[in-house]
Amino acid sequence: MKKSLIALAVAGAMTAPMIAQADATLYGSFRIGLEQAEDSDLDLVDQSSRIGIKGDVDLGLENTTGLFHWEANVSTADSGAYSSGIFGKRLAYIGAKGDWGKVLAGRQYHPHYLLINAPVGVFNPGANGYGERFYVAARTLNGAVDFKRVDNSIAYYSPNISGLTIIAGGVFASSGSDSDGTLDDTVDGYNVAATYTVNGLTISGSVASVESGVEDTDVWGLAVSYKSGPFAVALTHEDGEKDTGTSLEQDATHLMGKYTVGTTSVYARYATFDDNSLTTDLDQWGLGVTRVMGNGRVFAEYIDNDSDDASFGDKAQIGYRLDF
Amino acid sequence: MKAKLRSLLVAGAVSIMLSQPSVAADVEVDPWEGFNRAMFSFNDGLDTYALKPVSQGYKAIMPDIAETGVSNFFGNLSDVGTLLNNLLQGKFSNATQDFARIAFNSTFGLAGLIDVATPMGIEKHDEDFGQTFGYWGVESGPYLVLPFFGPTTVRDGIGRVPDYLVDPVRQLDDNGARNAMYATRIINDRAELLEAEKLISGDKYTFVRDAYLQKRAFSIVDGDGENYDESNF
Repeated sequence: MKKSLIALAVAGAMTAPMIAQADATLYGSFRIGLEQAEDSDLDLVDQSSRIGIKGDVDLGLENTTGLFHWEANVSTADSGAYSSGIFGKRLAYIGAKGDWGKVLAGRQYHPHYLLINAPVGVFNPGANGYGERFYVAARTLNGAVDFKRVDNSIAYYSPNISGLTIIAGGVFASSGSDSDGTLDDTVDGYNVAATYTVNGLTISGSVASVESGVEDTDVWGLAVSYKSGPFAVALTHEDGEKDTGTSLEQDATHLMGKYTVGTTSVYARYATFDDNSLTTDLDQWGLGVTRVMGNGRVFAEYIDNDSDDASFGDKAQIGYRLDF
Repeated sequence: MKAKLRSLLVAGAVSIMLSQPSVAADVEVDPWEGFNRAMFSFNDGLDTYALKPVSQGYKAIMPDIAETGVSNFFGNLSDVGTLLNNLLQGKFSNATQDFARIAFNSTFGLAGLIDVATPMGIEKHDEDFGQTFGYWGVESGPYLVLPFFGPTTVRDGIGRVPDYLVDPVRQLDDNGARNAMYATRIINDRAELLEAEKLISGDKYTFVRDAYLQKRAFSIVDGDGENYDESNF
């Protein structure tokens, strides 16, 4: 009895400060797929498996909490998938949040990607040949600074004001050579975006720019999505221009529809892509189905890539995913 | 106790109604009984001397696991027609499940040989064009027995034409493979009925007709018919 009391007292003394210090969550998602690509053998491929740690930290302030988030890729299929080691880079940022909004600093999701690309990102594989192929900012104009997860960045998210959230961010990479004095001395990139949600309808807009010394990239995008009961639809448009001496102009439009019954979803997506260096537009459509079972899911998906584009053939994939 | 008694009374009333259809009702649903009985007799003879013995042999020779595989394979193909008909009936939830069944059974289930969708909790449905016409409000018309094809109604018989047109087996280019698939499916379907036919009693023609018509009426409303609502009694 006495021992128990002592143990309880010790446990209590140890637990209290730990709770006050931090609340961290270890999480992960393991995803693997069997892919049959046009003119290729069957391939067992990893689908962006990742592990992460995130949490909140008490700062001793009334309305402000610290936060941190680290996430890295782990490959379930190939030992040499990440040349830098067992992990591939994804996210690493810290920040603070309160009723005034939140500020994030570090390597984080680009708000442009979250608002303009993510609403139509229904396919499980994140690979270029699947749904992300025609993301103008995050993929096709992909320059020195990534528009999907961006390094060296600080972003401010306003609180949700009657459905409206405004986001402003900057990239401070100091990566460009400024020998000729043409670069801005402070900011290497910026993003201003806003999203408004009312009764299942979400409208988002984003303008972003990156200056990296050898090339300047400017993009803008609009996204409209609507969800009602089991139906969800999204329409997005992106327009981008990259100046590397000659100007490369691209735009893409995506249309996505999804129908969910219980834990089963069927979805389809169509995308068209225009590039001023190509003589014809490129098209892609896909159809998929996902069944969620507890913390696991299985999916079967098919992507039909435009036959004029030799670099991307048609693909079919079945996959299995476990989250924890 | 009171509810149990009422259920018993309801069950009794239903079974009496089902087992003793009136002569007037017979004429109404089966005005072509003379022709139908002749066709039924022809089909029954064909079944007795050809199809049934072959099916019994098939069931005896085939290992159970292979039999299940064949049954699953054709069940997966039939889901294609079910999906289409659920869409035509505006049953999008069911169509979504049908699509999921086809996608998962055709891939994870090794071309449909293994029914992985059922243990995953994705419900199987059974729809065809006859049911779709019924769902749209088309009356069944008189009962009809077709040579080789068996019991149907005018509506369901017409529905068999689009059923045939959307049948995935029909898409096979190779004649030999296609006919082998048709034959295997017929034998498989017949083998699945070997157990059920032991329930047949009395006049076989009447039993099969009533069972067919009741099952079709039940299937068109997906088992949600008002006759099955206890509160209506």
